[in-house]
Amino acid sequence: MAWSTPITAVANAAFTAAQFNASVRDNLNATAPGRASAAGQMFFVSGANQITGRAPVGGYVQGTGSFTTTGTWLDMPGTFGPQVTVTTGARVMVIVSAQLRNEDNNWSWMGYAISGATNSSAVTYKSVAIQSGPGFHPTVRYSNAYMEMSLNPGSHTFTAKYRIDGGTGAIGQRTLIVIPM
Amino acid sequence: MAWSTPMTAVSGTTFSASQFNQFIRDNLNETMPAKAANVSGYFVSTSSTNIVQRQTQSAIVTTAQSTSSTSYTDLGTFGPQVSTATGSRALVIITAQIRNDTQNAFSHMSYAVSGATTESAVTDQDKKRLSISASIDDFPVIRHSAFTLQDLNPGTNTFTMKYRVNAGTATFDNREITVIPF
Repeated sequence: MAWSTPITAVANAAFTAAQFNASVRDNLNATAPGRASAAGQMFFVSGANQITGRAPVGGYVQGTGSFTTTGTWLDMPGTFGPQVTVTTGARVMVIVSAQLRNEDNNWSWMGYAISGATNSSAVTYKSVAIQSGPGFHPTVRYSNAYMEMSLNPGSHTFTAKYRIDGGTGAIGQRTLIVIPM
Repeated sequence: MAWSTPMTAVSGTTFSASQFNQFIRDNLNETMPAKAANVSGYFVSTSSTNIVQRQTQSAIVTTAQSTSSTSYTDLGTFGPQVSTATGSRALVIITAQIRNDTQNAFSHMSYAVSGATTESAVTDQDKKRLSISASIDDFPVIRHSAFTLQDLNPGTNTFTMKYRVNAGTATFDNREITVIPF
């Protein structure tokens, strides 16, 4: 049962079982201990007078993959992901981390696509990236945190995607963390 | 009414209406479901036995713009900027793609706080900023984030991105700020 505004007791008036069940039992069941279903959950608003436990999820792929110019977002050849699935509210923080390199004076990117209750493709401003220059090709590990502000509440799958804008890029030690709210 | 420590029942004594109102009604009204109002909000404590709902705020400016200012400034498109109610701390995350056209020149992105707290972008910049130096003219260009646990005066605080260089001209693209208030 959902939360309802607790009654105001009146001196000498009967306190019925129905009133106890609505104002005490059902309301206690709507609080965090009543809603907690697993370890590691934080509690977020899922509607007016309603809270839900949500836990962060993450995936990691150790291997370094490399491929040549695509200009489009792809799965990593040979080592898919990482990918995580989680139930979310309207807002989610997504953190991507990777070790990035480009051999040919161009961009290497790691981003993510969303499928499920909301569908969206990988885009540059939600990604971590490096652009190397002539004779300068560093290998660096970075992170990017992006706040999704308007998802449709429900189950979502977040899948890491990769893009090389020129030459050959190498991307490894790939992490995807999703904090559902 | 505020939370009060629940009474301890004693066998054989009357449970009064005023006790019900104080220990059941008023205490239930201090719990999360009673205060839950905005989807994706979350709860933090504001003092002993008091909780409040907060919401994460985020904004992004996707226009690439440049500056050669050596003191923190705005770009042609202001911001990004967010305002939100906070307690004494917030996690501030700033993200951008940054390049500088001059070898060995640094490009910096920081944020100013206004409202309940006043703090310039240069204050504690070593802790707050996102920076990159150009190893050669215009390269590398990197998109990544910096994270700061910011001390604040409780109340409504506004966070505004600011930009500067120590040399050359820097270009900042896809500039984002996210604030997770506690």
